[in-house]
Amino acid sequence: MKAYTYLFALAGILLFGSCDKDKTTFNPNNTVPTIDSLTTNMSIIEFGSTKPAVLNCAANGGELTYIWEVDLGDLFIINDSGSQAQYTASPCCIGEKVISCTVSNNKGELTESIMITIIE
Amino acid sequence: MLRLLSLVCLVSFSQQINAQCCSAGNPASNGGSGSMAKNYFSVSSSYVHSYSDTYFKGNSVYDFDYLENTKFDFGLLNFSYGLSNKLSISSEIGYFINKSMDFTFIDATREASGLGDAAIDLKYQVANLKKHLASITASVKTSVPIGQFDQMDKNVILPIDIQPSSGSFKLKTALNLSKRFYGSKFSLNSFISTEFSQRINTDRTDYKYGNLYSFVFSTSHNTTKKINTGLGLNFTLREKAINRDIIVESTGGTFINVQPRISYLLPENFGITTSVNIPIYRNVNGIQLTNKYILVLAVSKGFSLKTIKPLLNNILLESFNENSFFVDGICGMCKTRIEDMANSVKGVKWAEWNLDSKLLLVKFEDDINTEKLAKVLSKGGHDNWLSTSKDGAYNKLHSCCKYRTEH
Repeated sequence: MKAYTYLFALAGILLFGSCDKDKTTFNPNNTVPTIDSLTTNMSIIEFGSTKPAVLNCAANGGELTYIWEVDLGDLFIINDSGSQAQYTASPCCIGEKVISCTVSNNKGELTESIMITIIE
Repeated sequence: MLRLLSLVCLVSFSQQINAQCCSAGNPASNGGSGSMAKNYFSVSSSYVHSYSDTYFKGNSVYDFDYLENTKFDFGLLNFSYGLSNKLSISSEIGYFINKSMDFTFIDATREASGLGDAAIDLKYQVANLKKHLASITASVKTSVPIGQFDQMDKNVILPIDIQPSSGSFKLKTALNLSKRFYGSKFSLNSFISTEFSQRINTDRTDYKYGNLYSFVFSTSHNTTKKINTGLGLNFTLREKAINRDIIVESTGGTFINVQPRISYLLPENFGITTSVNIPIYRNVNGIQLTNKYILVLAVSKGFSLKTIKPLLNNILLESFNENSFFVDGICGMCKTRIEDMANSVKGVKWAEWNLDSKLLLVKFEDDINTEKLAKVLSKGGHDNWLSTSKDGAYNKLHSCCKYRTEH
């Protein structure tokens, strides 16, 4: 009897507690992402600078998500869409750093990189 | 009692303390430095809090505003088991409850949490120099990055230094020399270790942490029957890291820390330990944010195999109706007394005590009461795996059997 109680409880959890299907709907006009440009206002910055480099990724494709990445240093998104980020770094990051921006939607993804040099 | 206190002291002196910049993975080493007795099993849970807020350039404080502070709260679960009197195995798994960086130049905090690394540690007692009350233990520890390495925060892949997982396999080898004094009330330990990290080489990351070399010198004192205190001095040297074949100049350095510790033995073989790790010397490569303190709080529990019978039901030695138990003693007269007492307990088929290992091997019937066996032995004056003999019973032992003063 106890076993049946557990089985019913488990079935209940699976029925009512399981995840909903992904109901995300995409705009049918979306196209494969393309990146027009990935630019920065400063290609050389001093470590610990209170004036970070601002990066801008101009991309097309519709309903885009922007993912930024760098090995060392600190990146922060600065606009709602995520297409702009600022970058600065502590002393551990002196040298050339490659910053990547990956743009994606339901049609695909594309990555572009840019180099910023951190100096003392 | 000494053995129980050693279980309490499972959280040994932290063997690594780094500048915060570009460090990752489990922050503290755990599991003690010596091997455990055969059939002993222990579980310990530790909480670690670390706080860093001061930049150093070389060995001097450097006035630099970038990060206001970095801190983390970390939990570690450790299991240790004595496979034999010389060989023990332990495993650990770490979890970062919170790991954060507060920036000064921008009103922002970067945070991460999640699984850190897991590790398996094998310890082998290479030598037991009984005449000198000293032992040498060698250990090999392998760390595996089980946590997610490329965590994101607000559409940015987190940099290496704040990822909870180190992302790197590590191999650590260590040698521990321990010597006891004054009837084992006081002991000195020296611990030398090297840690080599595997190069992380993925689509996203090409990074190698600097190798780590450390030497720990520590004391341990059984202040009372239930309290053990200690003081550690840790010397650590970390090499510079390498990122995409380029040396990362502001990583690694030389660090010296002191670590006072106090452990308290609670009933039922529970123990509680607290320690704080404070840097007294830092000489960093380049400019780095350095650690201010690491606080460790740990709870542990030790078992003999018999006390975890429900967990290990009918496996290992139990399946052969044999088991071995720690019983303290020192001479041939002790041996005769211990074996006679054990054989007098209902359910014991035969018992044999080994003077070198201090283990009583018992062949028993199905319905043996091991608690009763322990009680009989302690009443007869012999400390054992489950209970300590009262002074009255101990004092009745023959003068040559006074094992407490001879340890």
